[in-house]
Amino acid sequence: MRWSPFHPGSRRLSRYVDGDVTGRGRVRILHHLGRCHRCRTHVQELRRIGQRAREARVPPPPDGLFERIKAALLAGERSILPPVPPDPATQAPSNRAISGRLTIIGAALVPVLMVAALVVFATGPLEAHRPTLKLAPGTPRAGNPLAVSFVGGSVLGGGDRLTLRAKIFDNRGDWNVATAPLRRSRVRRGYGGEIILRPGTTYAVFAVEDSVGERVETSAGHPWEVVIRDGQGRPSLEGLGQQVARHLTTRLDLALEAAHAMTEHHPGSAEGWSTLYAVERILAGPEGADELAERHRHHFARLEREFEVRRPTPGDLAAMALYARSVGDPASRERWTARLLRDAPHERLAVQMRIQELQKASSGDASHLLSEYERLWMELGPGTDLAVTGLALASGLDDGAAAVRWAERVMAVDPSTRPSVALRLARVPEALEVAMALIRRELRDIETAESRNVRLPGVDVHAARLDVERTRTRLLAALGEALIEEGRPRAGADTLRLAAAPTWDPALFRQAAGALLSLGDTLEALPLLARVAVDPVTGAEERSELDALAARHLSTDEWQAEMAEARSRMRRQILASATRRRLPSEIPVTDRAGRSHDLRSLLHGEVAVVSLWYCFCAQFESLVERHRGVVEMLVAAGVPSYTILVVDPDADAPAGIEGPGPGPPLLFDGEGAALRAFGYAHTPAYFVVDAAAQVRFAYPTTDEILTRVEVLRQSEGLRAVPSP
Amino acid sequence: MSPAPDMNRALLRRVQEGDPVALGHLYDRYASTVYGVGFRLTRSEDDAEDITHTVFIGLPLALRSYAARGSFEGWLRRVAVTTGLKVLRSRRRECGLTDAILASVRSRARGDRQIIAGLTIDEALARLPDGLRVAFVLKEVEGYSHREIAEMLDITPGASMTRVCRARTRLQKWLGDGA
Repeated sequence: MRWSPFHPGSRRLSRYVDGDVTGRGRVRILHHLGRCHRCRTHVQELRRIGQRAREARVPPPPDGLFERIKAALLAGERSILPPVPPDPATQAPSNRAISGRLTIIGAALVPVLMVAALVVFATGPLEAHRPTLKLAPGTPRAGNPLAVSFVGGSVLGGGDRLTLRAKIFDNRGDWNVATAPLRRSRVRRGYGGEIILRPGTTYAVFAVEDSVGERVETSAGHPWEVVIRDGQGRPSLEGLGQQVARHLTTRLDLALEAAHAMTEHHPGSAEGWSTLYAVERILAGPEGADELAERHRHHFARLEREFEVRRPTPGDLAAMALYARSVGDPASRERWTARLLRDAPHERLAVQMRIQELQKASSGDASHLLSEYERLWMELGPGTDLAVTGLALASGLDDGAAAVRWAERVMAVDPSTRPSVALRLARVPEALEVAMALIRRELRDIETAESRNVRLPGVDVHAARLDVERTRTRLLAALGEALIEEGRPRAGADTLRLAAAPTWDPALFRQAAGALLSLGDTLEALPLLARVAVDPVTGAEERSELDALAARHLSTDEWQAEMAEARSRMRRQILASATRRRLPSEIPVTDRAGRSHDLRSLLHGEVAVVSLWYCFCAQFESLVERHRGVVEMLVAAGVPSYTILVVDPDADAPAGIEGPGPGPPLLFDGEGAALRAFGYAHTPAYFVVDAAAQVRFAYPTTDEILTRVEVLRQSEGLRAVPSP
Repeated sequence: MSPAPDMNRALLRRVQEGDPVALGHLYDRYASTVYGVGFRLTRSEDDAEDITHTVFIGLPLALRSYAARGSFEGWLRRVAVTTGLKVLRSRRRECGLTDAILASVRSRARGDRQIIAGLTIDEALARLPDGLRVAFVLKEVEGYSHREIAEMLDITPGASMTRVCRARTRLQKWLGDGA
């Protein structure tokens, strides 16, 4: 990416304000706006004009109008209203792509890779009428109430009450979830309410939902956000930093915007410049790194001069040490590192550096390293990084007592880690008893998880419930294994069966069935094995073995009945976790030659898999190999899939991503239409889309994709996935 | 007809059947919304009243084709927009061809020679030629995409972008330091 300055024309800036410039184009403009006062002012003016237009006076309807309408109706007046254009989100595509359908059959396909993540989509507002959330004051400060007014889009809009859900970050880096009621306004359109931002609040994100949390509205799939002002009326440095962190892996353009704001409003902050460098470095890629470092050297030098005169804060010390690593010379790197370790030893970066030093010095002696961690803990006190590192090492050493000690430290620093800590301890034989006690406590507490009000903005109760059930399943499975380890195989097997009951997880079915078979309880194991047999991912060889096992205990009809019940269960349980998110009526993407295609048209008519690659991740290249394996699986199963890179077509795609042999071209989402439509990209993010081009499953794992495709095909009466 | 989640099924059925009391309930709730859409598009209280009158007269029939997906208010706003555009088009036809050309020339002349700054937003929006104002309002206030605006106005999305850009340029000049 070239860093030469350019002035976008007024038309381009007008499109930028409309949100119609996305992808690399938007990033270029953002970078320019960060450095060009004239263009930045122009954009601000355009936005203000829009704001004033929206707030412009509208007179009320004249008195007596309804009486005139009633009189006209009584007099027989009728009018035929012009047809209303259909909701774009529900409109079926009328045109196929110019080059015809890119169906992938029997060819090396675009790769698809599994990334598990939890994101819940709002149903998606009509493009025609976006929901709006307004805050007053527009520049809020912590410790003050914030008035909220909301006008719904296509998802929410009726009833007298809604709920504002907020995730509120503070200046210690902690966060909490708060809610506030919104009541229908008597004097203006929409709803109004108030939320208190406690002292120390730095950043907040919001969504609006109905009173039971089933329908959630956000701004085109993303919660609204606000950075709180500091004592000087500037957006707070910590808040902007939290905003960067939140957007860094999914919306690099917004992360860059926030990083620019850090340096604009806090030009003397090392953290701002260091953060801006980090974000720009991702964008620059290897080819732009030198030029970028050169540009930042003078900022670094200026900060060094300033810190000769004023005392840097601990945050400044950490930022300068990091900045120096990137753009400083060896002497300044050493200088700032030493200063950080001496003057701010509790800063996160300082602790991480100490841990790295200990790891280098340990020469592979893990026990000695663990005792060094203990010494560091005594010296520095509680800290997340050291606690997690200590737990990992102690678990790896199978040192039960040490693992329990470090586990308690992790949970003391962050109680929300209890489930994952319990699962980790369950793998340490000498810590089994403690792990089981923790698991049992979590299983009790999990029943009230929802009442703890930790559901995040934008996540509906359905998705939150699924998350709780997934956690419960993992905990029960761990408990079952622990009971077997403890010498209680019957209790363990029953617990594994309980874990397997509400879910569709063939690995867990095998685990539970294995435990039952070990007890000689084949008849109890067979229903679980029937589920394994019907799962599309199960190979023919395993299926034959299961048929043979079943034949020894059941008649053919009985086994067929078990499998029919298993298929029915598979459909029920998988569809229970499905979403239904309509995609926009057009999703323009391009191929390598620059030809346009409408992804929505391509998707319509058949269950398909989409993978969306966000190409700014440092690990991009290394993930392609995994991806190719998944593609080959999909090709063999006759599943159409589409790979979209969220970059311009002239960008360099990593070698090998297109796969060997004939296949569809890669698609490019230079303007970000697909990213906006699906709401998330990663390396990559996978989506299973039904025949009506609705997203039904987001981020399935490798093993889950084929099963979900099969279930959708069955439910739509389409052809079955061929057995592997 | 299945109801939108936010609108009582019985009320809509009664409106469809011609019940004036039910229509009155809808009017109480949504008249200012419909009137506001009409006024923003036309900047004329008379036209806004016509639009509101037309929409509520036509609602009983129009509800038969209402698919009840999404919010009722969203649907009603779209009805108000399309009715407003129809009113604007018929207003232009009434002028006649020659009058339309003259009006267009005059409005261009006003815009091109405009050296006045410091207008209020109301004055500035009223001064915009219909074509620019409608595109601007549909984009900035009603939140339509350029593709949807293009369909409604029977122009290309590129033309929609151009109109919005030109509207912004003129408003920026007329609003002056107050922008």
